[in-house]
Amino acid sequence: MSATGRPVVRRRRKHGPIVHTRRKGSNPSPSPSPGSSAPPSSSSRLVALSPGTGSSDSSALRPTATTPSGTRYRPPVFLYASSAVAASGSPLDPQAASVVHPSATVAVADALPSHSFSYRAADGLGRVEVEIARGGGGGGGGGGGDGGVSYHGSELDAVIAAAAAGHGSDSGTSVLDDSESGKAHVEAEGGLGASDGAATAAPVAVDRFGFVLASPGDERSVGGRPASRPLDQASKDKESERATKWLTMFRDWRRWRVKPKTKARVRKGIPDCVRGQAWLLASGGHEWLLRQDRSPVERFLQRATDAWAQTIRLDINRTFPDHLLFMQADGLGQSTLHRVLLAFSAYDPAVGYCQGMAFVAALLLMYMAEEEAFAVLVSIAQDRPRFGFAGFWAPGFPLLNKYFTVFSALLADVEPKLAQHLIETDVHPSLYTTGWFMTLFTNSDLPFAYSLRVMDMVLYEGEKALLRWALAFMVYYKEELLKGGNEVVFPVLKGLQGLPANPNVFVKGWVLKVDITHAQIDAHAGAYDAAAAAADGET
Amino acid sequence: YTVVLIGDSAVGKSNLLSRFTRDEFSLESKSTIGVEFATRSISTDDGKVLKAQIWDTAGQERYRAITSAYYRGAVGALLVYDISKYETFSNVERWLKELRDHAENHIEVMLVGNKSDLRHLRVVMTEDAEAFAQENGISFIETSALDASNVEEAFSSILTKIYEKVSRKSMNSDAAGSGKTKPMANNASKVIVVDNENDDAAPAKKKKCC
Repeated sequence: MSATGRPVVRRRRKHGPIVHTRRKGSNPSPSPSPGSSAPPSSSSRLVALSPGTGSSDSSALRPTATTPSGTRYRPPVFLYASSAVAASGSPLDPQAASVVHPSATVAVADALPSHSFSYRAADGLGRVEVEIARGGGGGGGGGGGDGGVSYHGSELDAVIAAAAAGHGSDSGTSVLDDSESGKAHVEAEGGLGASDGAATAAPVAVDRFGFVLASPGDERSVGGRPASRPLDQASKDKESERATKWLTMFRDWRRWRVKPKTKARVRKGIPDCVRGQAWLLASGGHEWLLRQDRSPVERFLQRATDAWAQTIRLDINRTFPDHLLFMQADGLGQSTLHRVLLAFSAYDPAVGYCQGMAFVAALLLMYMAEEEAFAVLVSIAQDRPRFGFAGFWAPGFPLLNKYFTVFSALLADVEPKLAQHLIETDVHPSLYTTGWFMTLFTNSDLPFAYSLRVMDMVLYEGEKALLRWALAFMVYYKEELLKGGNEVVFPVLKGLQGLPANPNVFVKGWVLKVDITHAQIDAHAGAYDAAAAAADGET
Repeated sequence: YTVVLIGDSAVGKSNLLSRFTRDEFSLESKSTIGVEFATRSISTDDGKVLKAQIWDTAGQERYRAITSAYYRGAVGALLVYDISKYETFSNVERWLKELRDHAENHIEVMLVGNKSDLRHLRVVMTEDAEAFAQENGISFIETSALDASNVEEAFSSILTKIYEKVSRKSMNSDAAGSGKTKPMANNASKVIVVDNENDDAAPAKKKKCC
């Protein structure tokens, strides 16, 4: 990367708590295979450049250079230049790279989901170079594909909160590896540019979150999901301001985690650029990772079975097939998703893999590296009573069945008339809530910005938030739902059309207005458990 | 009439449904979680309009805990396999058992070999499937949701068969449903006959549930 002639600020990674690699003697897992395999983790460098010199093009994304090194998971660290954040700065908008080269899909995808970086302008700072820890990943081998990514763009000036970035790339399948040097370039300047791997396909248009549009400006993605428009300048500014606050919170998360202010900030929506980091911390995934000896994904993959691998494979190209990260057969997104799910199937053999989990894992992978996504998945599956979502996915669906009852009971509390109507018309919650709960609202036709807000709240607040969202939709569509049975209810609750364009309006006006308490949930759940126990006793 | 689409994961159930009800096919289709639902009306030769309510189900085995509740109200089932994946055909027997355990006795079943456009990848021979269907007393057809071949035929054939069966039985089918517990209670044996003249705009009022 050629120098810009501007001053260079180089910041070394500050370490969070260090995890020492101790190999327990009893650990049966072999060490990462030598030779063709990459180290189980590597550190990356994130280089942000400010060309600044009168460049008129909008931001360009240009990931380059990879140098895998290091050998273990390192906790995410947050770095930012001490320089003042320029008031006028705005986060790098992925929209800026909305026209990319499909051959470079993987490379862009590599950049796009790394919203866990925060890009902020600091006038005159020019260039910041940050070394970031990246989660283990990369174990697939090859040696290419992982590692440093550098971005430069005219908007992209300075401060970087570097989270664990990079992606566990299953080398050998990603575009990154196609280049002999292990480098990939994506240039969005003027629409498209050549990638090292290939150079001649037509451009792909994507929306704000990376969903692919048949043509720019389309209302819906090629998969039918409502397209997300870019934020207006005021919203961008607000988001930048909030991101700064979140960075402060990250630095002392233990204290901030329990503050009422944090809950309020979660409900306002976690800024997209720090979302991955916030999710990792809020869900407890970060703490779980810190307790791991070494790359958990690698470790569990070694125990995975072919049967699960095949089952999972059937869903890989049917999970966000209209998203840039996952659209390419056996591309980076798909192979990473497969690894995370397969590792989970070995981690929790009682659950294995259940259709629905893929959407959750994929959404996480849009925002974090594979080790982290895995850690969050583990947390929400196992951490009870906060989540315990393994019960949504385990054979027999114990938690889902319970939720059908609890949800119906809560609906009767909140909207007695609607609850009664649904009973009379024989519309069972399994018809419409199965997808909601099992995928945490990620596979519905909900605008993506909404799915993210659900995830924000659920990962921080736990199951109550999930029920609140579900009930909020019921209240919102009440009048329509009262008009009929399955034929009416299903399309309305499946389509979730006509929501306020701004999710804030819905969160404030509907979700937070759903007045339910933990005591209420516990009471209904207790009643369900008692009934289930009684039924067991009879048989 | 209520018809269910069942069969292994990723054999193309959802695309068959979207092809039939919306004439759409998507290569970007997503895995079905739980059950999905769509309706379409077709006309019979004798001028009746048959309204079909079709339940599309998730293919993974464990989902039967949920989806089996939806078999109960069904008068027809399309049991789908993928002609390019032998395992999906070998599992057909298990799906039949599943129907025997959970569906009405008189349910009309049609075996559907989907993805017939994948000629070069075919591993399930038409004759084998035909023989299997005959042995088990069910009908059989090969379809392609992608190029739309036989999709219309598959649905209209099963609907017509159901219609004839129900007509012969003088709409007695309701009795079969009673006495079973139906936690889902979804329109068991719901039969909807709409006269030709009636437009579809107000089907709810024309419903005759027996």
